[in-house]
Amino acid sequence: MFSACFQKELRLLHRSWRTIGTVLIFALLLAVTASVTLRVPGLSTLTQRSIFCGAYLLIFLFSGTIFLSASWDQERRERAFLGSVLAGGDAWPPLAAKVIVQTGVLFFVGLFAGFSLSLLFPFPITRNLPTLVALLGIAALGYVALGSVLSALSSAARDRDIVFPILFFPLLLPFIWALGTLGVAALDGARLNVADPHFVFVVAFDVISIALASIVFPYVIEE
Amino acid sequence: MSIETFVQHTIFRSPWIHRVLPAFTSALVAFAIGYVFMVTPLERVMGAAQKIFYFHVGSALSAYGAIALVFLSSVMYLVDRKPAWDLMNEAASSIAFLLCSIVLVSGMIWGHSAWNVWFRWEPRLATFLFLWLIVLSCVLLRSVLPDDSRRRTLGAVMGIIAAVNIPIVIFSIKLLARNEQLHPEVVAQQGLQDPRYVTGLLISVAAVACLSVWLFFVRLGNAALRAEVDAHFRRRG
Repeated sequence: MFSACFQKELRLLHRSWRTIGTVLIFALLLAVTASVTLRVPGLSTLTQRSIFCGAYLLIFLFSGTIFLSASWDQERRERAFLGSVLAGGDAWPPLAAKVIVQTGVLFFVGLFAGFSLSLLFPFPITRNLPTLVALLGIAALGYVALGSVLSALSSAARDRDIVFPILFFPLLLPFIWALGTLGVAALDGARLNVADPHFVFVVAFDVISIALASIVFPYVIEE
Repeated sequence: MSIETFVQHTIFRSPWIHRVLPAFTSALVAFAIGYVFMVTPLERVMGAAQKIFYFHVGSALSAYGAIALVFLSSVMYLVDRKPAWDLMNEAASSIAFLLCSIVLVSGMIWGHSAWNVWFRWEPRLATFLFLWLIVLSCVLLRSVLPDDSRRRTLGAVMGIIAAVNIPIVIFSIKLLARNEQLHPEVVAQQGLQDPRYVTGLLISVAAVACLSVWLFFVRLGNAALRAEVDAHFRRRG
């Protein structure tokens, strides 16, 4: 069942190359806008780090929201989910396949946005790249787990494109807060430390999001 | 229990909810206002602005209670699919939103007199801003979903997601540095030296709790009535 769902997600991804292209262009435009508006000469490195990290998180947040919203729309349009629902059984294989594939896409979008912003701002991120990439992976996982359920949930609503971020962003705020702190530290060269409460919080948020998504997802797809 | 039975027997015909609760709440709220403004002494540093504390704390505690009810009714609806749980969920969400708004606004008023700014990223203020946004999203979702089983199920799912995230929000605030924590910890630091402060606080907490319960039943009655009218029109086609 999982293998079938995974293949379905990959095929859907193959057909949604236009959506991914649009999200990448959107991320690039946001990176350009952030570089133009937030670049102030004479700022200290610490301030630059904080501004860069905040701008990057905003780009990641908005691009990811557009991607999740558009991908669920396509799912509905092409009735791609119908097969998984009609096949019956557990709800976790479709959810797991969706989360894995979308996390991969969002990870790629995040990398693209990070390098674009780094070039345009400009701010070097290669100094501690492995830590930043690991952080991006952890961020994308929690983001997609909760975002998949909420985008499915809001797809039944009127004005779903506006409703989705309204449902999603308030739940993400503490996560973004902790990610911002970890991001600024990583840009300064710090490694991820399992004893750091911010890191523990981000990992806990991922775990809770995945658990919560797997509990409520059957009820969402039922409708 | 059908919607009709729930409305007829639980809300509209119960003398406790219809007569005793409003009378008792009105008397208690009037007594709390009188006690807080006429009996409790004026605080030396904050002056009259400190009086906000009595209703601010009561609203915060009642807001947590309303959110717990949102969670309970959401889980119960998904378990046994009785419309009465959905009505409770709707009413509790509305009351939670109202109480979070009161806490946020009263906190901002207090903050303006203490710090001379309406809002700052102080942990507790930020907590209630996040809570307010989460509860707002629950209320908003119900208004944009079609009025059928989808609204009930998805409303319950959102209620669970929101309620589970609230401890996360509260915990996340503790990650902030201690020097950013400006909210007074009155009870923890034994700031209520005069027994009249304690009595005033207890009375006002009870008054706000009773008022919240009353408003919850009023809102529940409205939601039940609307559901009954909708069901009537659906039957007539």
